Amino acid sequence: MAEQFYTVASDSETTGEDKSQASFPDVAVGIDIGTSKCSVAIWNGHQVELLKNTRNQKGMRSYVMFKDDTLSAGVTGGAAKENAHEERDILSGSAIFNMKRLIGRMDTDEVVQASKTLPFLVQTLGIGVRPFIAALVNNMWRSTTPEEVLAIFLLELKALVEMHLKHPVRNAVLTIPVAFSRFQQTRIERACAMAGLHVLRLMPEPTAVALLYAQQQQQLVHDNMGSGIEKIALIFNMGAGYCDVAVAATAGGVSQIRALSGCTAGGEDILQNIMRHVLPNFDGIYAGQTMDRIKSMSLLRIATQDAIHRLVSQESVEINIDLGNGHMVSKVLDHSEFEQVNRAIFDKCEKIINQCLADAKLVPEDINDVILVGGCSKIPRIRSLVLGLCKKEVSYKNIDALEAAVSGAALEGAIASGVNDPSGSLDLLTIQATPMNLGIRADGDSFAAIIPRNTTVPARRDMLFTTTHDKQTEALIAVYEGEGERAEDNHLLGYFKITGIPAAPKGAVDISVCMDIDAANVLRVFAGVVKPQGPAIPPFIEVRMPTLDDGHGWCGQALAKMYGRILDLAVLPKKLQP
Amino acid sequence: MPHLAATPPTSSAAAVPAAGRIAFRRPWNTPQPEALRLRLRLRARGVRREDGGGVRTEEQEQTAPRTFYDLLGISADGSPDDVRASYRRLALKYHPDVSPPGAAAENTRRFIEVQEAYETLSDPSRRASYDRALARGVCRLAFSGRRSQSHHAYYHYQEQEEGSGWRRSWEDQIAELKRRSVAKDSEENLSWGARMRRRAEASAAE
Repeated sequence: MAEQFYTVASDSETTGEDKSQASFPDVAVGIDIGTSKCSVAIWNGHQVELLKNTRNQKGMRSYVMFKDDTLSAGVTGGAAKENAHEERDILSGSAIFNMKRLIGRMDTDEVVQASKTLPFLVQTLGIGVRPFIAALVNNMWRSTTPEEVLAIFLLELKALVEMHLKHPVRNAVLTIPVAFSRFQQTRIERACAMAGLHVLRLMPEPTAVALLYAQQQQQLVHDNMGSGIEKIALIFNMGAGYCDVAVAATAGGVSQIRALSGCTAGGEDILQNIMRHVLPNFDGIYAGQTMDRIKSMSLLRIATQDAIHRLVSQESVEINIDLGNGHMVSKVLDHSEFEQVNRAIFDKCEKIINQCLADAKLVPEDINDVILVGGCSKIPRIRSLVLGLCKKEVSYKNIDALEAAVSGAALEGAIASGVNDPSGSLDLLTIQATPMNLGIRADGDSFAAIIPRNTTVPARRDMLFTTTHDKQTEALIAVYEGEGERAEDNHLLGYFKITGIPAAPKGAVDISVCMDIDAANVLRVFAGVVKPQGPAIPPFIEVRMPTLDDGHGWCGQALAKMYGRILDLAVLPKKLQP
Repeated sequence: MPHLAATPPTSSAAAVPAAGRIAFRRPWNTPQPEALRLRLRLRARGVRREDGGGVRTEEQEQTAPRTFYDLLGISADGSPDDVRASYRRLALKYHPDVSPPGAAAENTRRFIEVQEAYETLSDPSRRASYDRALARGVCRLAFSGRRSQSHHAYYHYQEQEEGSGWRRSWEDQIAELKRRSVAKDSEENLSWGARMRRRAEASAAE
């Protein structure tokens, strides 16, 4: 790929100070890159403003077109050309979309497997490496990566913002799904660095909405002279790629995230289910990307997508398509059939809502407001499901479902950039929480959670461990993130060794492993001996996580196989923790 | 495209004092009974906390909070609403998102302390255990930047309560009764559910 299409910034820029040191007014912009649509917003000195592209759109398609040896992203949608990109062009194999679904995933991931029927090329080997992705350019498949695609997209987005603001843009707050692992977050930061953007914060989407809600509640108190009573909101966000839930307690401009929960279920999954439902031999027909099949698939995709949209306001819809080669689809789809086909997805949504309420130690009656955001929140079944679980008749009305996340990100950008507003509109704070457990492998293949899920950020926790062998002088610290009881069920973030442990009988030496998450969500792990038996104490080790460049699945297995037993640690019993 | 070389991890100012604190913990040369060792260790740590370890200025030393209540700036009979309001006020003051850049490291440490105090005092069963420990003069300085210390202190309260009930004097009982009569909210918070949770936590501790 030609270098001139984007600027490669060095990694060190992504570790710069949180606060800007530039001479011009450098307020961080808010960016919401959805799986299917993206938007960008900024604090304009008085309020949050969503920026529009040259086609007067606030929501811009999330894709990059690689056709004809030139690149253009969905930010402008090829508006500079005589023919703007049509839906059929985007589905022709020459465009890469769904990059947010693909970024940072291994080829054993079910999301990647489901993406193999997309019009662009996705190849997997099933051994835990990153998938091979390519776009159709001049009748050839040209390889790329989701990070590159995202960087190209961000570059065009950055140009759009700078054109609006008339000055360079340096810092950004981006929204991410709750289910994003730290590894995926580093991929996002890498793509931003390529585009010349420094990530000030990565904000889970429902917590961005919580910040917007906090501002509105504060405004309400201002206007009505009401008391600053605490309000509990359940925020449900479902877009094309992800589903997230958060419970936030809000009072006096402070929004405290009590619980977070997320999963990979979204509109894309619903679309795939319906396509397979109306065309039972879908996978057989579309195995292997030939020109005819890609074209046929795009017809089916467009028709099915249109049907799902119409089903929001209609009782039933007809789908009639001639796919060529003798394949016809002629079907009437109603609500009950739609819900039956997607039952597994709705069950997933229900599960994370219940988990979120349980984690927050709340019952539905404690919820004051239910906020539904994201494109899929318009689906009647979704609305009735969420409102039913929260025992509410109506959802909160004052937040736009498609603009909420990016507005919250822009607010956070202003706050974290140190902007002061005399009217008090920015006297706000979101107290974040970690969505996943963080810990290390210990006691064989067990996962010892040091920072549990929903811990308030910034956080610093430690745990004591001890040796498992007599005269053991080294220990492997393998850091994982996730919900599984076994370490291997979770995401491996990185590893390092503690050396110089005093030779002593097993269990005689105390080893402390401390994890620190700062406000920018940077994770650092400190580990070392704290109860020396010998004359000298080796220095503590500090490691910023993740250290892995790729999420290779077999890396964790190799570490466990080679070092899992001889460099193992055991968790000290609770009563012996400091 | 070639992969960008990873930058070596850089130390942060906030990390160094904590790492130093951990690395230079006082060793115990002679074996001691477990309960006594835990108690001594905790007390010794409190003493060092009082010294400030060079992190706090002279002025801060004199006004350093001694209990979670002092840290949150509320009285010992503050209501749950008082606890939450105080927490929000201090969060707006110390959270790094709203801190001046130069004070971010120190304020992050304070925020973590405030968070720990809030978590203890906003959970009725943990608050009750903490109050009983305070009444006996044990674990007065029972907070630090590390969660597990508070965790341990909590289990320590449970241990004391279960193992040494017969040692509680009638003065302690009178003080307890006075505290309960004054703090009605606290008494109401000791609901059946709270007691069940405490017992479940106690059984989990053993």
